[in-house]
Amino acid sequence: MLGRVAIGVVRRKLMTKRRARPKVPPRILPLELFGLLVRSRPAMESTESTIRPPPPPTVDAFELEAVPFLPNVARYARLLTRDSADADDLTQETFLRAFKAWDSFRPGSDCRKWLFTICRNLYLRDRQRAERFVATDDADGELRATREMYFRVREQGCKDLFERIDLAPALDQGVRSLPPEYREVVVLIDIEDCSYADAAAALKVPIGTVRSRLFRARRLLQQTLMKHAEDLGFLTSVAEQPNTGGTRQ
Amino acid sequence: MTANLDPLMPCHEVVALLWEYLDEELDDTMRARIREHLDQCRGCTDHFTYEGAFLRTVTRVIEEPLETGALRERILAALREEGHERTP
Repeated sequence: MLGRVAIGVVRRKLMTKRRARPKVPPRILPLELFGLLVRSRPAMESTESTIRPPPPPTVDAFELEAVPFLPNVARYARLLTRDSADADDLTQETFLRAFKAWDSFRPGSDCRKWLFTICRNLYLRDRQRAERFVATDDADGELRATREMYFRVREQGCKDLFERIDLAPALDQGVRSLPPEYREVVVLIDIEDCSYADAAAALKVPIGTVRSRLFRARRLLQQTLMKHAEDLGFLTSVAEQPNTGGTRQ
Repeated sequence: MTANLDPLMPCHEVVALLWEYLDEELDDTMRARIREHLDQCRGCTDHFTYEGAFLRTVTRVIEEPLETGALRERILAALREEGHERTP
C-alpha cells in the first residue's frame, strides 16, 4: 500500500510507517541463560568447554524465543502500571504465565506481541476497571485543541520541534502521568500496533471510547511537550495565542 | 479540463481525520481523498507532518527497552523453579 504512487518528500515523510521497527530481537543468548537452556545437562559446564554453545535439539525454545523480550515486556508493564514494583511483579507473572502456556505459542508467530497480550490481560484482570471510569466522548474537541497547539508551534516557527530538542524525558514522564485509561490506549495502539477495533475489544469498551481516549491522551502528551519546550525557552508561554484556522495555500 | 466530480475535502474535515489517517485506520477511499487534499494544501501537509513526527517520537520513546538486570535474575530464578516443577 505504501509507496504505490510516486510521492514527494513531504508525502514520504507522512507515509513513512511510523511503526516500522524490528519485531524480533537479536538471537544472541545471554550467557546466563545457558544453564537454563539445557535443563537435562547440568554437567555441561564442568565437562565441556564453556564457550561451546549447547546443541540446538536440547535448547528450550522458551528461553530462546521469549526471554530476549524481557526488556520490552518490562517496559510495557512499567507503562501500564506506572509503579516500578508492580511492573516488576507483572513482568514476572507474565513470563511465568507464558512459560506455562508455552505449548500454545505458535512457532514463527510474533512472540513479542504474544507476551504483550499476556501481560495486558493479567494487568486488566487485576485492575477491574471500566465501571468507575466515565469516558469523555469528545474526540472532536480534543482534535480542535490539538490543532490549536499546532498553530501555536507554527506561529513561533517551531514546526520542527521534535527534531530540535530532546523530548524523550518529558514524553516519558508524560506517558506515565496519564490516567490509566488514557495510558492503556496509548500502550495498545502505539506499542502493540493494535487497530482501534482491536484495542476496543481488548479493553471491552466501544470503539468510540478508544478513539476519544486516544485523542485526549495525545492532546495531553502534547501539552506536556509544549510545557517542556517552554521551560527550555523554545516556545513562549501559553499566553493569548490567536486561534487562527487552517488555510489552504 | 475535466470536471471534478468529487470536490476537495475542506481543511476542517481533513484535520478531523488526522489521527485516523496517521494510524492507518481509514479505508482506501477516504485515504485517497485525504492524500488528494494534502497534495494541494500546504497548511494541512505541514500539520500532518508535524503530528506524524510527534507520533514517531512517542513510539520511539515508549518502546525504549528497560534495563532489567535484577529483574532478569529474579525471573530466571522463578523460571528455573517452574522448570523443575514441570520437568521432574
